[in-house]
Amino acid sequence: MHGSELIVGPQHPALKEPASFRVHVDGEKILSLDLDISYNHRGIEKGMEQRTFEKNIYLVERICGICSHSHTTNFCKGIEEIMNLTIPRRAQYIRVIMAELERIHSHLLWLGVEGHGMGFDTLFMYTWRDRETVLDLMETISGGRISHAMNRLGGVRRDVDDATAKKVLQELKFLEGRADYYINLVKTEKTLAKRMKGVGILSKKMALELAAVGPTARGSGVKRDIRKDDPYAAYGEIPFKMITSDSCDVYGRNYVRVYELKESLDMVRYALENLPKGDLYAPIPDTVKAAEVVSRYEAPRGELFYYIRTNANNMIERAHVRTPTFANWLSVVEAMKGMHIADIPIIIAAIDPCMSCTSRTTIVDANDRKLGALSWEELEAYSIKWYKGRGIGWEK
Amino acid sequence: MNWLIEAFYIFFFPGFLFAIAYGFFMEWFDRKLYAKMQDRLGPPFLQPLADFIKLLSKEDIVPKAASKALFNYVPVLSLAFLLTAFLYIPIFSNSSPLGFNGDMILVLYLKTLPSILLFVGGWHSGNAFSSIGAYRELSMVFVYEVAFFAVILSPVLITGSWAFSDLAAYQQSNPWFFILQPIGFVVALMCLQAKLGRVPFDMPEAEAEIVGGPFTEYSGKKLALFRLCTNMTMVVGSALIAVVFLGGPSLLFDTSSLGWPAMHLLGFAAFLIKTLFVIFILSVVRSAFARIRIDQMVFFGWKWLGLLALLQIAATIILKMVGVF
Amino acid sequence: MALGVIVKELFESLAKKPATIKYPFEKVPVAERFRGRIHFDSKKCIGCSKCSIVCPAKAIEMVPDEKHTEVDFAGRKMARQRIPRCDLLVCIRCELCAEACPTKAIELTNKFSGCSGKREMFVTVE
Repeated sequence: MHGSELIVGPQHPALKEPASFRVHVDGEKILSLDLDISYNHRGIEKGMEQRTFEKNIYLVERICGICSHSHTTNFCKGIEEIMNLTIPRRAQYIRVIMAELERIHSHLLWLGVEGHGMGFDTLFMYTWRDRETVLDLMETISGGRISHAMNRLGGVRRDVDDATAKKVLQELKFLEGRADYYINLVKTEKTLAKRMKGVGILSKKMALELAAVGPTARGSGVKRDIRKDDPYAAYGEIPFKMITSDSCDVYGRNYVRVYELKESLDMVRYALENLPKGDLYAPIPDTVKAAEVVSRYEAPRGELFYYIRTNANNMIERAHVRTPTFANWLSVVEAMKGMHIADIPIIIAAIDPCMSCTSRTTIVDANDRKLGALSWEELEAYSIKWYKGRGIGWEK
Repeated sequence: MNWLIEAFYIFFFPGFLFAIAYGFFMEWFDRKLYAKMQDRLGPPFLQPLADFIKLLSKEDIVPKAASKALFNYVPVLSLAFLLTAFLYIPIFSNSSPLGFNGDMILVLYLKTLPSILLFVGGWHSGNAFSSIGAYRELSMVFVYEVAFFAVILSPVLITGSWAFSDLAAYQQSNPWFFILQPIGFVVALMCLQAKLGRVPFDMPEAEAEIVGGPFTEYSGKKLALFRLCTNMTMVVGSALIAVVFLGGPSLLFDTSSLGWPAMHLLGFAAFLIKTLFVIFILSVVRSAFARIRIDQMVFFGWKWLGLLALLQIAATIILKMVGVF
Repeated sequence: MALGVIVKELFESLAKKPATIKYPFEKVPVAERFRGRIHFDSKKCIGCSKCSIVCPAKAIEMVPDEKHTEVDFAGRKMARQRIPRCDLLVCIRCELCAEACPTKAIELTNKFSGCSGKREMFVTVE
C-alpha cells in the first residue's frame, strides 16, 4: 500500500486557529493522521499562580472566547467549594441562564462553521445572523457580547431584572422558531445528509475508550453529560433531556447539537420564568485554607475540567485546565481513518475545536529520554534541529 | 473598409471588450444575488473591477517547484480560448457576424479547453493541494462534458445543423427548446454549474478542503486572469444555454417588422435578460446546496446527468421518427 | 419537500432588507449595560488608586496630578495628588474599577470603536 503525505495547517482556510495535521493519504482516502496541536501556548496555568482569586476569574475568562462563561463558572465553583460557600439560588439560576445562552450561541456558531466546511455558506450566514440575536441578549444581561464578566466568587455580579427578563423571553420566541428551522434543515437537506451520514465514524466503544466528551460522545450514544451526572448550579432543579444519538457519525454530533439548541432554549425560558428572589452573591471569607479541588462543568463542547490547589497565602499553588477540545482530539484521529480528503474539515469541525484552549507543553524527548520544561535557548536549538531533521534548511 | 468593421466586431462589440465588461457585470450580479439570498448587503457595483485591478497590482509569485512555461501560459491561453468562443455566439441577431456552419462545435470545443488547461496548470504548480484539485477537475470534466455535449446534441438532431443561426431561426418559428426539451435544459444548467466549479460541484477548488485547488499557487496577474476566465466561462456558458434552449435573441412576438435597429436592440435585450436568468438559477443552486464529494459527484453525474441526457436524446429521436418535429 | 426548506428562506431573504449594515456609516445599537471605553469623571475622582489595585489587567496606572485639583470627599476638601490613567489597549472592560470606585467617578461608556495610528491610547481624567 503506497501513500503520500498531505500537510494540513498550521495555516489552512478550514482551520480558524493554528494546528497541524499530517494526513497520510492514498488518492482521496485517508490512511492515518498525525496531530500537532501546540502552536498557541499562552502560559495561563502558570499565570493563574501569580494572581489573586478575583483577578483569576478574568484570566480564565480569556482561555476561550466562545465558552468564557463556562471557564469562569467552573473556576468560581471550585474556589467556592474550597471556601465552603452556599450560593444564593438566584445567582445559581442566573449562572444557568448565561450558560445556556452561551451554549445556544456556541452551537449556532458551530453549525455555521460546519456548513462552511462543507461549502454550504448560506447555512453559515444564516446561523451567524441568528447568533447575533443571542449575543445581543447576552449583551443586554451582562454588558458584554463575548466576555460577559458575569461571575464573582460567591455569586454573580449583575442582576436579571424584570424588564430584561421580559425582553429575553420575547427574543426567545424568535430563536425557538429558528431552532426548529435548523432541526428541519438538518433532517431534510439532501446534500447535508450526503456529507454527514456515515462520515467520521466513532463507535460507542471507541468513544468510551478514547474518553470523548460532550456532543462528540453523545453523538456516539454515550450518555455523558455533567449537568445530569454531577448537577451543579441550578441544573438539579431545571428539567431537561439529555440528547444522544446512536448514529455514531458526524450526523449524530450534528443531531445532538441542533436538538440541544431546543433544550437550552427551554431551559433559559424555565429559569427566567422561575427566577427565585434573593441575594445575588454570598459574602466571601477573607482567608482560604490550603486545599485542592476538582471542578467539572458541561461546556458547550463537553466536559470542562479544573484542578485547583490553593495554599495558605490565599493564592493558587497549581491549577490545571483540561478543555473539552483537548479530550476530543484522539477521537478525531480515530474518526478520520478510511475517510476522504474532502471529509477532513467536516470531521475536524465536528468536535468544534478550539485550538488555543488546547495547547499544552510537556517536553518528552524520545531519543534523550528527558521529560520536563525547556529554557528559551534550548527551545530555539530544538526547533532548528527539528526543522533540519525534516530537510528544511536554515541559511542566514 | 470591411476589415475595419471586422476588427470592430472582434475587439469591441460583440467582441472582447463587451465580453469582458459583461463578465464583470455578471460576476457582480451573481455575487449580489448570492449575498442577498444570504441576507447580506453584497458588493457594490464596481467591486469585481476593483478586485481585478487589485489582483493585477499584487506580487506575482512563481513557485520554485512549478514548471515555469506551463504555469505561466495556462491563464493567458484559457482566456484566449474563452474570448474566441464568445465571438461565435449570436447575441443580437440570429447569427453572429463571424458565424459559419459548424460554429457550435467550435464553441463547445473552445469551452472545454480551459478545464483541461486548468488541470495542466494545477498539475504543474508543484503543490499537493493543486495536484489534488487538478485531478478532481479532470475527473469532473469527464462527467459533465459528456452529459453537456449529449444534451446540446438533441436540439441539433431536430434542426439538423451545427450552426447557431439555424438553431435560433428554428426557435423563432417554434417553441423554445427548454419547453420542447425540459430535461435537456435542466441537465445543461447542472453541467454549467459543474463547469463553473460552483457549489455543489466546487470540489476542484473547495477552499475549506484543498485551499483553492489548482489556484493555490497562482497569485497576482495570473490569478486575476483566472478570475476573468471564470467570468468569461459564465458569459459563454450562459449565452450558449440562452441560444440553445431559450431561443437566443428571439422574443415571444415577431420583431422583424420593426426594422433592423429596433429588431437588433430587442434581440440584444432578450439576450441580456435570458443570460441573467440563467445566472439567477445558477445563483439559487449555489446558495441552496452543500458541496458534495468528488466520488458522489462522479456517481451523481453518471447516474443522473448522463442517464437523463441519453434519455433526452432517445426521446428526441423517437419523437422525430414519429413525426412530431 | 426537502429542498423547499432552504429555497423558501432564500427567496424570503431576497425580498427583505439585508441583516447586515454599512458599518462606518451606520452603527449597531448597543445595550444599556454595554461596557465600552472607560471614562473618568474629573470632578469626582479623588485619586485613591483603588481602581488601579483591582484592575486584573493592570491597565490603570496612577500618575501625578500636575494641577493638584481640589476635590470634595465626604465633606472634606483636599488637593488631589494622583490621577488614574488607563491604557485602552490593555483594558479588558471588566468594570471592576467602576465597582470599586468609592465616588462613582468611573463609568464604562457605550463607545466601542476607537482607531488610532498610535501605539498608545490612554484615557485619563477629563
